[in-house]
Amino acid sequence: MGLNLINDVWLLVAGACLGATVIYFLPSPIQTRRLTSNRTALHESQRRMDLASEAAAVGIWEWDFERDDIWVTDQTRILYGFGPKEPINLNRFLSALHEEDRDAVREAVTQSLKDGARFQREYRIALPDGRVNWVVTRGRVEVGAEEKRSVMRGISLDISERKLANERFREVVEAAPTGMLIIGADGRITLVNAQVEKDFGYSRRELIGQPVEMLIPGRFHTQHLQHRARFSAAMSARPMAINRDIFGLRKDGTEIPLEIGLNPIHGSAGVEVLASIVDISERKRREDQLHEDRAFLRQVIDINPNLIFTKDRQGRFTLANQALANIYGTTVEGLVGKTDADFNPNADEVTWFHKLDMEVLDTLQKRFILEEHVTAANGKVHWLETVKLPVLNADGTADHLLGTAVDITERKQVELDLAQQRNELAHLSRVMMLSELSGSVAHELNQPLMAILSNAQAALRFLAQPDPDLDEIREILRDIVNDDKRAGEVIQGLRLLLKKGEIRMEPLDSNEVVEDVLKLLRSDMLNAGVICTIKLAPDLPQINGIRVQIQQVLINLIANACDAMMDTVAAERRLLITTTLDSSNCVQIGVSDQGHGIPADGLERVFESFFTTKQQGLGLGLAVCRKIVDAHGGQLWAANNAGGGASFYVAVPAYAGVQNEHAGT
Amino acid sequence: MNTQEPKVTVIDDDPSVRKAIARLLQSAGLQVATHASAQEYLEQYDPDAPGCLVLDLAMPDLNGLALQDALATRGNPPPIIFLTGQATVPDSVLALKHGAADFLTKPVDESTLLEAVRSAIAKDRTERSKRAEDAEIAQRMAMLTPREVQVLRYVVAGNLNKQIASELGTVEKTIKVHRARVMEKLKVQSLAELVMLAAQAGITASHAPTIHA
Repeated sequence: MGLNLINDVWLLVAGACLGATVIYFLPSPIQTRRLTSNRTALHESQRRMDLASEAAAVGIWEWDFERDDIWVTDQTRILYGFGPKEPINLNRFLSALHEEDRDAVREAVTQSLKDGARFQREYRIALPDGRVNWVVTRGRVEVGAEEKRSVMRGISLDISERKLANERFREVVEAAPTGMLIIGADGRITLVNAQVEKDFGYSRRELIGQPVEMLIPGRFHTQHLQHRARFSAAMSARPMAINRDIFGLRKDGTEIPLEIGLNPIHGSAGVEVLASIVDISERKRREDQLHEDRAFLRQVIDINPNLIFTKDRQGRFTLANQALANIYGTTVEGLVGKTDADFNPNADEVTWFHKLDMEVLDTLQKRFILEEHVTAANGKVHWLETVKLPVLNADGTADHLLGTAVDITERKQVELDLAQQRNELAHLSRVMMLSELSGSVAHELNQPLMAILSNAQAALRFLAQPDPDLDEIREILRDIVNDDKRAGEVIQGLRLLLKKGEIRMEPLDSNEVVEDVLKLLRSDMLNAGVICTIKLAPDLPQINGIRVQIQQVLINLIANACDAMMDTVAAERRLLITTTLDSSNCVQIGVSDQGHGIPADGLERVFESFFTTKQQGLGLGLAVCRKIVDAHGGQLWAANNAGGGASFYVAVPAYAGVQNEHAGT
Repeated sequence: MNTQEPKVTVIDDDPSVRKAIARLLQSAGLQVATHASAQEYLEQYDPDAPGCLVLDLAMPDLNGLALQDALATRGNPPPIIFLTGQATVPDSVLALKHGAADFLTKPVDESTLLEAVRSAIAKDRTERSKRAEDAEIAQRMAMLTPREVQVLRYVVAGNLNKQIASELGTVEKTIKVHRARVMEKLKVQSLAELVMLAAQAGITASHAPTIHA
C-alpha cells in the first residue's frame, strides 16, 4: 500500500504540475523517517522532500488524525500561510480556509474518515495578507499500516492560476453571445452559460448534472445517443447536424431550431464536449420568410398574364414566368437556360428579339416596343407590347435584361377588325364618290383616247400619201405611246381608288397626292367654273399613309368646295389648295373655297354621319374622311375664312422612318 | 369676193388632243391653226378668214360656250364644231340653240370629224359668198338715184313704160332713159335679171293703176 501511496503522490505531482514529461522521485516522509535513524540522513531526506515539494509547488502533508497532528512540508506552510514552526491540527487547517469553503471541506474530511474514501477537493485559502489562493488537495486514509498508526496522507497543490484561467474561461463562456454547454463523458451537463439559460428557459441550477437529452425533444433521444457515441469514438471539432434541422427543447415544452458546434475538451475529468449552441429561430424565421417571399413573388409573376423574363447575353432565359411558358408550350423550369430559338418556329422573330436584346444590353437603354409579335409553339401569333431594360451590374455594365410584355393580341384583333370595317366603309364611300365623278373620269380617259385615235388615223392618211413624211409619222407614234400611257395611268388610278383590300401604309409625298387628285378633278372643276390655285410647300417631309384614302379625303374636300361655290359669281369661284409643314411637324393640306361658308354650329357637325346640306348626298363623305384621317394619327377640321367661304384642313404627322415597329409585320 | 383658203381653227387646252386633231385635219389636206385657249383665239380673231372652229367645250377661264357667245356678239361667227369629253344634254342644247354647227363627243372618228369640218367649211363658204353677193347688189343699188329707184319699183311690178310715165307725170321717153340707166347701173341684160336682182336686194314693187289703152 505504501508503494501505492508513493505512486499516487508521484503521479499526482506529475499530473497536476508538469504533465507527463518530468517525473520526480518523491519518497514518503514517514517511510523516510522509519528507514533511517541517522539524523543527517533524516535531515537530508527532509531537505530533499522540501526541495521537491518546493520545486513542484506541492505541499505534502500527513495527518495523524488520532492525535490530530498534521505534519507539513515548508511548501505546505507557504501554501496555507502557516507560521514556520507552528503546530498544525485540523482546526488550524480549517481556519486557513476561506470561510465559504470551510464547512464543505470539514464535511468531506469527516466523510473520508468515515468511509475511508479518497479525499479530493478544491477550495480557497484566505491568506493573512488578504490574498485568496485556490488549492487542490488529495488525500487517502491509511489505517494502521505502518507503526500501527492511522493517518491520512496527501498533497495540496496551488491551482490559483489554473483557477484564474478557469474563471476567465467561465467568464468568457458566460459572456459569450452564443449558448455554451459542457457535457461530461457521462453525457451530463457540467457547465452552461447565461445564453443557454435564456435560450432554454432553465436556470443553470436546474441543468448542471442533468443528462444533456433533457434539452432535446424526446423524438430525437435515441438518435442523439447514437450520435453522441459516434462522436465520442472519433472526436474532432465539427458542427452538428449538417444538412439536417436540429431542435432544442425548452423548459416550457416549445422547440427551438438550433445550430450546434461540438468541440472535444481533454481535461482532468476525462474528455468533455463543449457544445456551442446558436438559437437560429430568428434566422430560420427570416429564411422561411425569404423562402415564403420568394414563393409568393414566384406566384405573383406566374399568375401575371403578362410575359416576364430575364435573359443573358446569349439570349438564354435566366427566369421566365408561366405566361411565357404557356406561349412556348413548356414549363417555367423548362425555359431556363434555353433561348427563343429552342421554341419559336419563326426565325425572323428570333433574330428580331435577339437584335433588340443586344441593343438594350449594349446601349444600356430601356426600350419600348409598341408592337411586335411572337409565334407560339402551337403556331398562333401573339401580339405584344414589350418593355426591355438592362439589369445593371455594380460596374454599370449589363449582362442580363429584364423584359415584360403585355399580350395585346385581342386588342390588336379589335384594331384590325375596326381597321377592316373602316377600310370597307372608306371603299364604299369611294365607290359612291367615283360614281359622282364618273363624268370627270370619262373626260380624263377620253382626252388621251381622242388624241390616240386622231393621231393613228392621221398617220394612216399620211402613209397613204405618195411620199409620206416618216419623221412626222414617227413623232405621231411617239405621241400615241405617250397618250396610251396617260390613259393607262388614269385607269390605274381609278383601279386603285376602287380596289378593295390590300391596303398598306407607305411613305407618301403630299404634294404628289394633291397633284394626282387635281388631275382627276380637273374637268369637274372646269365644268363648275372653279379656278384652282395651288401653293405647295417645297421639301415637305413624307407622311405615312394609305395613298388611296388620302386621295379620297382630298377628292371629298375639293368636290365639296366646288359644290359650295355653285352660287358664287363666276369670277369669285376660286379654290386654294395649300400644303405646309406646321409647328408640330405635321404636314397640313388646306382646301379653301369662296363659297357660302359653314354656320358656326356646323363646323363640327359636318363630320357627323348623315349630316348633309346637299340635296343628293348621303352625308357620309366627311364622316368617313375624319375616320380615315384619325386612322392616320392626324386631324381633320373645318374653319370659316375671314373673307368668306370655308377651309378644311388635314394634318398628318410627318413620317419619322421605321420606329420600334416589327420589320416583319 | 374673198380668195383666202378656208382654215380650220382647233382650240383645246389639252396640247396632245390639240396636236392630234390638227394632224388629222392636215392629213386630210386642210389648213389648220391651233390655239390653247379661247382668249388666245379672240386676240387674233379675223372675221374675214374663212373656215370653221373645232372647239373644246370644257376649258379653263373662257369655255367653249362663252366663246360662242363672244363671237355671236361680233356678228357673222364662223361655224363651230363642239368637242366634249362628257356631253351633257343641257350643254349640247345650249350650244346648238346658239347655232353650233355640230356637237361631237370625244373620241371622235375621223370620218365624223372630217365630214363635220367639211360641211362646216362649206356652210361658211356659202354664207360668205352669199354675204359677198348681197354686198355687191347693195353697192349697185346705192348707185341709183331716187327717181331711178321709183322707176325700178314700177318696172319690177310689170308696168309698161307708158303706164309708168303716166304715173310719174312724164313722157314715155324719159322713162325709157331711166330704165336703161337702171339696167346699166345694176349690170343686168334682161327684165328677168332685173326682177331677180331687185328681189334679192329687197326692192318692193309699186303697182300703177291699170290703163286701158
